[in-house]
Amino acid sequence: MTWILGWTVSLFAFIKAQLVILLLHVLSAGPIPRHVAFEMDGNRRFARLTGRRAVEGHSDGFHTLKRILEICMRLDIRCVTVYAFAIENFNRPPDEVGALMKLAEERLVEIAQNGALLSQYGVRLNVLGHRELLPMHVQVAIDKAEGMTRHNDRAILNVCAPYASRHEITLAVQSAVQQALDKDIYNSSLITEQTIEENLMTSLGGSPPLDIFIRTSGVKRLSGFLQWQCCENTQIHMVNTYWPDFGLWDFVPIILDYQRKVWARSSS
Amino acid sequence: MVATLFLWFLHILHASLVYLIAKFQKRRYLPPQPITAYRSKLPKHLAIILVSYDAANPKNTEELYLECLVRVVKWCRVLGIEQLTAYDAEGTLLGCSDIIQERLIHCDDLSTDGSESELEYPLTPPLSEASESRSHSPDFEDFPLRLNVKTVYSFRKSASHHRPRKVAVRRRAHDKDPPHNPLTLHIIARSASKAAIASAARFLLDEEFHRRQNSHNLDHVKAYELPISKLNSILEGGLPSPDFMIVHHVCTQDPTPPLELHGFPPWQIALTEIHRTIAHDVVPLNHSNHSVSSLITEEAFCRALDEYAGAQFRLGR
Repeated sequence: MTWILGWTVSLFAFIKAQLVILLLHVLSAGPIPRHVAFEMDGNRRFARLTGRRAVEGHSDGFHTLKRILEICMRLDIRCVTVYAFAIENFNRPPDEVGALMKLAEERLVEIAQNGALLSQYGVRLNVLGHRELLPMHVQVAIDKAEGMTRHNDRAILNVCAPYASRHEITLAVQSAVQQALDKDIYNSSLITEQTIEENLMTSLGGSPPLDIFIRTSGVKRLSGFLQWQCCENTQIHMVNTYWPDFGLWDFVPIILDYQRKVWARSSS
Repeated sequence: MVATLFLWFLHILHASLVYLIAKFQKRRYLPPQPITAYRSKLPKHLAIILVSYDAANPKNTEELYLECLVRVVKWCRVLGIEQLTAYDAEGTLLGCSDIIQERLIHCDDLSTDGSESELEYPLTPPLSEASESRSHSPDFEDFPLRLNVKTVYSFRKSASHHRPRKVAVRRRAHDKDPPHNPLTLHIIARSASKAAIASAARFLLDEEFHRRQNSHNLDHVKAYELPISKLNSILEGGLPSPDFMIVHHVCTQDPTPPLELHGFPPWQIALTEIHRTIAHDVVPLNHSNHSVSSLITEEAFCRALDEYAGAQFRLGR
């Protein structure tokens, strides 16, 4: 009897997987966003709900990231940006920060390896942020993971860690000023909004404009994530689901909203 | 082709579900707390983004924006919210800032039924030019910095103020209205957004270029370094960061489009709590061209404040 039960469960899982693929194929018939950002919030609260440590919530969150990334790749979303670690997160308890650093070190290399998710879908990994603040062993792992995917050109995954939007904007302004100073002829009018936009970390990594910004766990703030990129022409969704629970049924309505916007724009 | 048909069916199904859920939620909506109810926290600086998709009727849009702003100013002053930023992307409010001042004075005159009061709006930059915020360099006259923020101050003077009056002020009956606290109103448009950051960058470039020219040592070969605090002092010197932001559509659409920030200044929204008014709380005014106009109501404002009071700030921890 056990084998019948196992076989039935496997059959249902197979049918479910095929239905998901079919659903994604149907969605792909309409306009698809070029760039989606996820503020993956709620890992610790999700873990506490189930009586576990915060660190285990982050591990669950990583599995959700892989799942959502695969959905995005199947939908042909060319750029995904995730907020993995804020500069302010260094204020967290040292054991949690240490566990997050270990997670980053192991998992980034894991998904960048041959045959793994990023190579399967031709995704180039960019780690954006104030990298010098990270422990040296994590920086080494990041360099290795980025190196493994450098030649991938089908899609981009930006992992922001440790990141803060004001830091990114400041660096962009700094770069714009330095570029103008380096020119033979001084001309301050050369610095425009476009100049700063081009010097943002996301732009330097080849990311297109941001179409959709999603924050999970019910918090209704940007908390220093992609402020320049999402303040204009970006649909912002603050969903109540905690990140480890975020799935297709949260994501599909967001894609449908985006498609309606594109159709409304093209008809007007 | 088949996939497209299925997609249309999916959209119809989704729209129907959204409609039914909205209907169901409408019945379960609890009214928000009254405006003067106790709330564990109130924003010190509130921002309101006014949005209209009715480009065909700019005069109507202007009137709606003005009325919404006057209402929000009144409520802010009742609650003691010290700063209010009013934003619309197109600059409609910025273009009628003189009308705004008149309306605010008029509303104050009508509501001050009691104690002697005098409203003043000094320090307002000339209406014909975009305001130029003072820079933090001692030579700021050489490096104009355009942050494009129009700031209006309103405050209540007591009877013993020092400025000599030209007209006697009538004493009225004891004031039973709620107190009207001082308020600083910033009126901005998209020109105060990314363009202001670009302006700050040009100012910093000018400053660095002239510093290097005047410098007698060889430190000009060093790479230019900009601390976040320096850029922050320039940008927040023109427009401080709001704690809370309310996005209100004066011309509602069905279905309601997802939240957008419509070009609000990006530097200032790092930790701003964001709320959008819901259709349930706003009263439709009229129907024109398939769109419905709506003013922000006290109920919508109170619901926003209730949400802000319940928000938790972990600040990275």
